[in-house]
Amino acid sequence: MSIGTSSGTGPSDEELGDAVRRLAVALQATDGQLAVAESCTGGLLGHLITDVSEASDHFLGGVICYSNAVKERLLGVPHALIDEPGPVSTEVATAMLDGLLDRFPAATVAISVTGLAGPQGSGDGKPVGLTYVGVAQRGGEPRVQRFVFEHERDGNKRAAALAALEMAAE
Amino acid sequence: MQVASPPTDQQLEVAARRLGAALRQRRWRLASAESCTGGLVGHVVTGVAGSSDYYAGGVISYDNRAKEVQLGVPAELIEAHGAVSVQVAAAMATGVRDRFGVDLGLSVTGVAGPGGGSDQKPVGLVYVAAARRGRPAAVHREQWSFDRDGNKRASALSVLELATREVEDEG
Repeated sequence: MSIGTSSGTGPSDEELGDAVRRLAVALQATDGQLAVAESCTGGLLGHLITDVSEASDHFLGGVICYSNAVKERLLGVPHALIDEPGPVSTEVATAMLDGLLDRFPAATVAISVTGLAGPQGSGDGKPVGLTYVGVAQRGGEPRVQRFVFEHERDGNKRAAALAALEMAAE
Repeated sequence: MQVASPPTDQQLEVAARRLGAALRQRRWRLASAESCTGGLVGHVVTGVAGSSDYYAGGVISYDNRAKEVQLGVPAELIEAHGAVSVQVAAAMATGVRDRFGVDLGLSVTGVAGPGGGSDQKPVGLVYVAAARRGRPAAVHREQWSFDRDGNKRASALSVLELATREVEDEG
């Protein structure tokens, strides 16, 4: 799935706030406990989730794995996957989910985000805006979706966060 | 220091750029441990293009267990002093520094509100810390009186400024 809008700023605060509240309701309804692994969003997802004051009922925390070394050391992403197919890939998004569920034993739902927010590309031909978002329920099959956002850096981060919030609320 | 209104996006961005420039100059790497800010500090730090040169990442330790398991904060410390305390802020900063193997760890723990306050730990009470390699953490106590978002923003600005001072301190 690809979102091809090119407005500079990405989703509005209102859209993000609505998505956060929908996810909070979904988690409360199922007694879910959420953890997040964020690469390109850099903490934005956790920040948004903790904008609602009841967040501590359903949010455990997460890992901001901005560097590849942190993806490996903190989340156990295999070095071989970082080499090929690379950190921005379905495989790494999936491995981040696995690592997160290991690191947060109380988590029932995990979200991972890895992408190229820009403006620089990865140097291996992957386009700026390419983002993989993963969601897994403990014991279930992980789902990973591919997006190519066409905003500025901040807009790409916001669009990735919105996609993650919406996927996790499904 | 209490000011009339919480920091704007622009003020946060300026502070993140200043910290980034200071880290670059010393060729230091940074990691963050965030409780009440929930990831806002990481978000602001990574708002600067090229921040992957100096920002390794961090832990969002919203839950107390995450402070223990992900950051190595001793459970006894949390029991004795509470999660919002000088001691826990310092242990979060040194914990994230050592676990991520970076030169500087920063941390934030506090009561963002509107709920969760008590007489001893009122809403808006926040401790921010920054720990350089080989040194104990520098910790600041803040008492904000903004709304939840404002308290988070003010805390983020405070820790960015504290971290910058630690990097710029030549001693």
